[in-house]
Amino acid sequence: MIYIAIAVVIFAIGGIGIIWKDNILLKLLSLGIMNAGVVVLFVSIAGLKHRIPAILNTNGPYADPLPQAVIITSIVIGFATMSLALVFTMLISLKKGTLSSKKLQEDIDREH
Amino acid sequence: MKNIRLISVILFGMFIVMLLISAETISYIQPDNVTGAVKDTGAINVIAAYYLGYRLFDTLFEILVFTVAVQGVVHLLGHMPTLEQHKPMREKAIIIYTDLIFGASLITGMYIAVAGHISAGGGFVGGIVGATGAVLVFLTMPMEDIEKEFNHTYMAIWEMCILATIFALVLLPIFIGMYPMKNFLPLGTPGHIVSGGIIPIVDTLIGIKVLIGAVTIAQTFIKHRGVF
Repeated sequence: MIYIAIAVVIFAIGGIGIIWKDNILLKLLSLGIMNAGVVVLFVSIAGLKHRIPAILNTNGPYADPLPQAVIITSIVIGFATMSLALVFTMLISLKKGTLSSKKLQEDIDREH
Repeated sequence: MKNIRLISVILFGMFIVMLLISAETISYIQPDNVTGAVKDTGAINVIAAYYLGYRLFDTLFEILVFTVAVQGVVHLLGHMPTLEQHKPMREKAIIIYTDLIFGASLITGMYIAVAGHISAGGGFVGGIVGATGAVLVFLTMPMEDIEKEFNHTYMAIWEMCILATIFALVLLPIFIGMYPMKNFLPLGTPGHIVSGGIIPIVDTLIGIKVLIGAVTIAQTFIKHRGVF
């Protein structure tokens, strides 16, 4: 149970960062922290009842393999999509000269 | 290009038709228990049995998402100005250290990918472990050497070939009269390195693909943004 609480706390830290931080780069880092929270949540759900990993040369009762199998791919995908998002941030900074979301919003408001 | 579109429509149409007419698929969605999963797929790592057996469809499209992300990074950064002065770390001790670490991390990553069905790990993890060594080497090499030794065009061709091989392996059972994504190779003795049918092959291919993708991302970022 304590691991689920830790996962929720990590997720909340990321969420608060996304809402409060003005810089887009920091928002992205917060998104990465939220991603880590989701991974911790899935792994802790898998180990709720039993802790032994489901590899059959050990003696069971085994942890639930399904959440682990779902989340193993998402770690690499998170890395790839994060680098894509960083490239978008670079494009914004190159074109607008700022990363502050407030200033970007003002820019958009002025154009319309 | 029109022919490729036609071929893809025919292939995936066959995929769906075989999926619909095959009653066996339904029993292949969920194992009864952990030992049932090993009996179905031949891989004693049940997590690999899930993501390369029961949930292979999901994994295929995760690989596609990864490919699209890598291509997006390469394409979008390609339009941005490159760094005029690339300043790598040229201390002798650091160069020798990173070159030694490169071999260790590459071999460890490939081991994790190849043995994904009999121990903890798998292609996704192994690819990233293998790529860390290459990223370390990039910190110490001049840009011309990086582009010569890790040629971007060749890496992109290899990546696409591996993607095509994975999809061919998955679509091949259609042509020999089985439902798609069936593990058509002999399962072997569970626990041996040669077991689990297509699972170790797909795992190794995914490992190489993730390695190439991660190295490409790192190389593109270093080319356009420098090492510090």
